[in-house]
Formats: sequence, C-alpha cells, structure tokens
Amino acid sequence: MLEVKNVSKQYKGEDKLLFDAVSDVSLSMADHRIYALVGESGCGKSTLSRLILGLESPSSGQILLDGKPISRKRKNNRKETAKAIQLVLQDGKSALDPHFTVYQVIAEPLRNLLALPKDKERSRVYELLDRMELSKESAAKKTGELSGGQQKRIGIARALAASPRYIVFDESISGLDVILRKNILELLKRIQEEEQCSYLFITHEIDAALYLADEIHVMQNGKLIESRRWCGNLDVFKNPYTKQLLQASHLI
Amino acid sequence: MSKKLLQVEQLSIALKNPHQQLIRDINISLEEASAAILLGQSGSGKTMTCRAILGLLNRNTFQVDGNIQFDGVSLLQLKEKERTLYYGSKIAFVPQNPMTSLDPSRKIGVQMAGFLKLHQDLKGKDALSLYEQALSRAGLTDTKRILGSRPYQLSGGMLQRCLIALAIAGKAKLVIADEPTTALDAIHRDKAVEQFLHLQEQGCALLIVTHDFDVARHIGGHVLIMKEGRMVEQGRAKEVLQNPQAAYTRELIEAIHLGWR
Repeated sequence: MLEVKNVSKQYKGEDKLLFDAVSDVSLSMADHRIYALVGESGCGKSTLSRLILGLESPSSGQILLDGKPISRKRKNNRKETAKAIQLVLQDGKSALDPHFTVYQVIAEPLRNLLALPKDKERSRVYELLDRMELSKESAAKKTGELSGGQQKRIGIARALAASPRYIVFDESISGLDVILRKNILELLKRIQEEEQCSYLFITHEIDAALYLADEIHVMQNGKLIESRRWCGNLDVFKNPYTKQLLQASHLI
Repeated sequence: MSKKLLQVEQLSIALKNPHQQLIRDINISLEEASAAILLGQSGSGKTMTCRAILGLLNRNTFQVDGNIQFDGVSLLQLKEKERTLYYGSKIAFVPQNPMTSLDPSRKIGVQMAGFLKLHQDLKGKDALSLYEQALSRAGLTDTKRILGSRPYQLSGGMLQRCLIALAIAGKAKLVIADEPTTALDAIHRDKAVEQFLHLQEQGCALLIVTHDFDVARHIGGHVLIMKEGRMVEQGRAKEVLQNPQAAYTRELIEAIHLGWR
C-alpha cells in the first residue's frame, strides 16, 4: 500500500512568496491497480511524482509505503524505496545515457538493487528485451543509436527490471505519434497484467488515462479536484473542469 | 483565385555522407492566407521539410534538390544577405518548444524588440511599442507584465503566444509551426489552435506540422500525409480525414481511438 496523506509542497515563487505546487493531496494506491493522474502542465502532477519517489520531501503531510514514511535522507531507506517504486520519464532520449549500451542500462538496477549473479542478470536482461519486443542483438547497441520508440521501451524495461511494486509514468507517452502511442499503451497494459504491479500514470491526455486506468484522479492548481473509480461510464465525472477536458478531447 | 505564396516543387533531401535519401519528391502549394497541415508519424520527414523551407539545413551535410518558391523568389538560391529579408520577417517560425528557443536571461520585451529591429528600420522604443500592440492583438491583456518577464517566468503556452505576436508584429506572410500543440492538454491545445486561426484571419498563411488529427481537422485547409519521406496522400482536410484513400492514412486514424474496457 502506498499512501499519500494530506501532502503539500511549497516553493518560493516570484517576490519570494511561497506558492503551493501541491496542496493537501491525499491518494492511496493499492497493489495491482492502475491509477491515472490527469491535469494540465503546471498543475503539480510532476511535483507529486517527485514526492512519491522520495526525490523531494513534502512541506507537510506524509507519504507512506506500507505504513513507513518515504524519506530521501536515509540512505538505506532510499534503496528500499527504489526497489518498490520506479519511474519512467517523458523524454526517452534524455532519460538514457547515450554512451551506455542497452544491456548496461537494464542491468544497472539489477546490480544496484538486487545484486544478482552474472548469469541470472544476463537472462533477466534478455527476458526483458523480449518482453519489450526488442531483439537480443539490440542489447549491444548504444542507447543513442535507437529510435524514439525503442528508447521508450528501454526506459520501461529499466523500470521493470527489479520487479518494483509501483511504477510512476510521468508524461511517458506525450509527444509520441498516434501509432507509437497506441503500441506503447497496449504494451503497458499487458505488462501490468503480467507483472501484477501498480501504475501511477501521469498524463495530460485524458483518453490515454481512460484507456489504462482503474481510477482517475484529476488535478488542477495543485489540488485533486476529482477522484473516480473508472468503470467505463463517463457520467461518473461531475467536475466542470473534467467535463471540459473530456469535451475538448471529443469524448462527450 | 488568390495568389500563390509558397510553392514547393519536387523537394528532395539527402544526407551527403554516408549518402541516404531522407525526403523524396515533396510538393506543397500554399495560397495567401490559406493553411496546409503536414501530418505523419515521427521520423516521416515533416520537420525536415519545414527546415528546408526555413533554410535551416546545413548545405555541407544535406543535399537539397528541387525548388522552393516564396512570393516569386526562389528560397534555395537566396544569398546570405538576402535571407534576413525573408526569414524571421516574412516567414516566421514557431518552434515546438518555445522555452528552449528563447534566451532565458533576457526580458521578453527586449528580446522581441531586438528581433524586430533586425528586420525593420525601427528605434528601440518603437519596436517595443509595436510588439506591445501585437501582443494585445494576439489576445493578451497584461502586456506590460509580459514584456518585463523572462521566458522561464511564463508558461509554455504564453511563450507560444508571444512568438505568434512576433509574427504579427513582423507582418509575416507565412508562419511555420512545428508540433505547436504536442505538450498541451486538450483545452490549451484548442486555445493554441484558435491563435493560429486568428493569425490566418489577419492574412497570414499557415504551414503546420502535427501528428494530432484534431488539430488538422480544426485548422482545415490542405492536408498532406507523409510516411518515410514521401507524400502518401493529400487533399482537402475534410475529405482526407473523413474519407481517407491511402491504407496508411486509415491506419493512422484508427490508432487515435483508444477506447476503454
């Protein structure tokens, strides 16, 4: 269970005034489910994801993993957090070191978090490549040589490597063309069913959220304004902003 | 029949070393105050085509063949000195990410007035007030605050409008925009599209690169579908999007609708 309890995060803005990037957000994530966080840019989605990953500390409130607070200060705690929660970023290209080979990228979390023996590490890397529909030969390639779609798959493979319980996708599909987007979304759905992990899927594309998620959370100006269990009926959404988003996406 | 503004004929682009053909036989024809949309997957050559029209391709690296006529002038034959007459003034460019294409340390007003002074014989003050007028014509109200802000203090959408205002102030005849809505949610995307339509109403032709079919439908005009450096299909936006002929176009349109369980 991953719980976000009344979390706020303040930054210093213009004129040294504090502004709330995230204010009083509560969200609890069970195992084996997909949660979507929808909102426009600047609404605090990414800040929330950074807090959940323990990359920043909340100004107030708590983030609990199985009842224990996530903190970025204690070193041991960080490794535990990384084992449980992984991240896939928006820009597949800049998330990978172009000089690393694909093998190195995927093996890194296996070494750092699980300390697997060499033969098991190798077989896990090839298994992941296979799951991502990438050839064995691509393991020896430098990540800079790959196409955008392939880089995205490598980013997902790296996040999956140590079998985390939660994966945070921060705008991972934005900027993809329609065909690539559909492929990646189908892949994500299949992987989640196979791995039985939970996703926090952060996006500004509400149709992608509806495609994947079990629960939809809508964020605006740092606040969660609507949270609904999603079962295929658009009438559950009552908030005017959510409706506006759906309308603009030609869904209602 | 209105006047032809841009005519791209048999445009081909190849990488020189090692030789690799990137774009083959692209034809685009754009009348004054009309719109053309380049649609396709990433890597299909949309951006490359725009860069060729904008004269941004390094001739040592790329072999550019064909003819690009703008307002009766062949853009590919332009001399270095003549380029400022066209690029940045008559032909304006709105890049995908305005944040990284502006200087983060200089105020918007100073930067934009500087651009205008490059192309028009203006004093600093006049350039600034010209730009301020353009901002309000682009539908922005707190112009004073914007002029005094640095790019990182404004949102991406706001910066995009600042660049559109620059096109208005520079009296651009053609605006080329590369994926202007990719990072925007549906509501802001529609607002950005309105901005471009407004620009078109003011007599400016649009060439818009996108992979968003809603944007294409909304802007209308002429649609060109590209795949792997070639033109697959083209025609009136309505006809192509509602009744696509090429199998590839149908594949693209089918991929948009995700549905749900």
